[in-house]
Amino acid sequence: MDNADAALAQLRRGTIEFCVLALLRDEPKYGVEIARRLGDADALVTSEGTIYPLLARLRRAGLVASHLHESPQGAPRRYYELTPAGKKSLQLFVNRWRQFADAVELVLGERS
Amino acid sequence: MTDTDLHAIADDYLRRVRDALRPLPPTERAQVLDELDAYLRTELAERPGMSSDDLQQTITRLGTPEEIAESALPVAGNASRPRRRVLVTIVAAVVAALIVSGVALGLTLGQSSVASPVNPRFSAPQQIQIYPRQHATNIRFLSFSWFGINKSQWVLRTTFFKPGTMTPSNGPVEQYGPLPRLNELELVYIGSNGSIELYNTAHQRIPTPGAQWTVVPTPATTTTVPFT
Repeated sequence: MDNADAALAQLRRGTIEFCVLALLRDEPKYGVEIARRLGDADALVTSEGTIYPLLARLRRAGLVASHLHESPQGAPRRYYELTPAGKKSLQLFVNRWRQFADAVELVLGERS
Repeated sequence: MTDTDLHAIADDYLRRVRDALRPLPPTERAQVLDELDAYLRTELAERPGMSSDDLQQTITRLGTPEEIAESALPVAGNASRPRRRVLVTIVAAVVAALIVSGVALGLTLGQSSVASPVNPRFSAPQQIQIYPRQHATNIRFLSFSWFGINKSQWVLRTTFFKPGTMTPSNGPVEQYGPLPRLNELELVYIGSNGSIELYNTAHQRIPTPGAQWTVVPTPATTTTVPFT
């Protein structure tokens, strides 16, 4: 792993939980749905299963809440939704991320 | 391949994940396993006629048990404990103090048993400063001379793991020495993952529930995070 890969891995690890929070911004989602959505975005997760410890951690931190709901497809599904603390955390991150991303893009010369 | 065979493959994978997640709290581990189980059952239900190769691809997409265990480690500054956990931490620290007093008393009585600690884990490259703040009570307590333990001497045992895994890459490494400042340890570890255990000079492992360790990403700012 070269320096760029290592830096991106750290960046991914630091931002993925906010991506999960963002996915839950509009409506609750269940675990498989979240994992698949993030798995579809190649750059975000390398292994879909790593989302689940993250969800457990977010729940422990009080940023998401989860509830079991009956599923027409079989076993009950655990749905996750943002808590007020999660919404606040997400909003703070979004604001700071935009500043950060703008600054990085400016310095990298992506904009003229 | 029959459904039974496919379920056996899935069960074997879940069993390996469960082993890898052993350091997690039981409820958290159960939640992760439930979700992985639901994922695999959903795939099996949605794709009738799935072959073992298909299932292996799904398992590959989920990740190795070691990758999943690695992702369970908190990122510095992210998803920290909620405030209500602080009370639990304080209670745990008080309980730990009582346990340590029992251990110290046990020393005087010639007993060798000691409670299992909650070990801080770290991922690198990082500079790590350990501030056993909640643990300070224990340190002061142990420093009483009538327990015969010199507070200026501590043993720090570190275990490094193979990159990207939770498998020890070597035996524990022990360091001896006085605390640079009262109740603080400052360490620098680069390029590895590992765990830290604190021992007293009698080689009794010291429980550190509620202790905090500070992760200092090089060369940025300092962030204090609790460990679990």
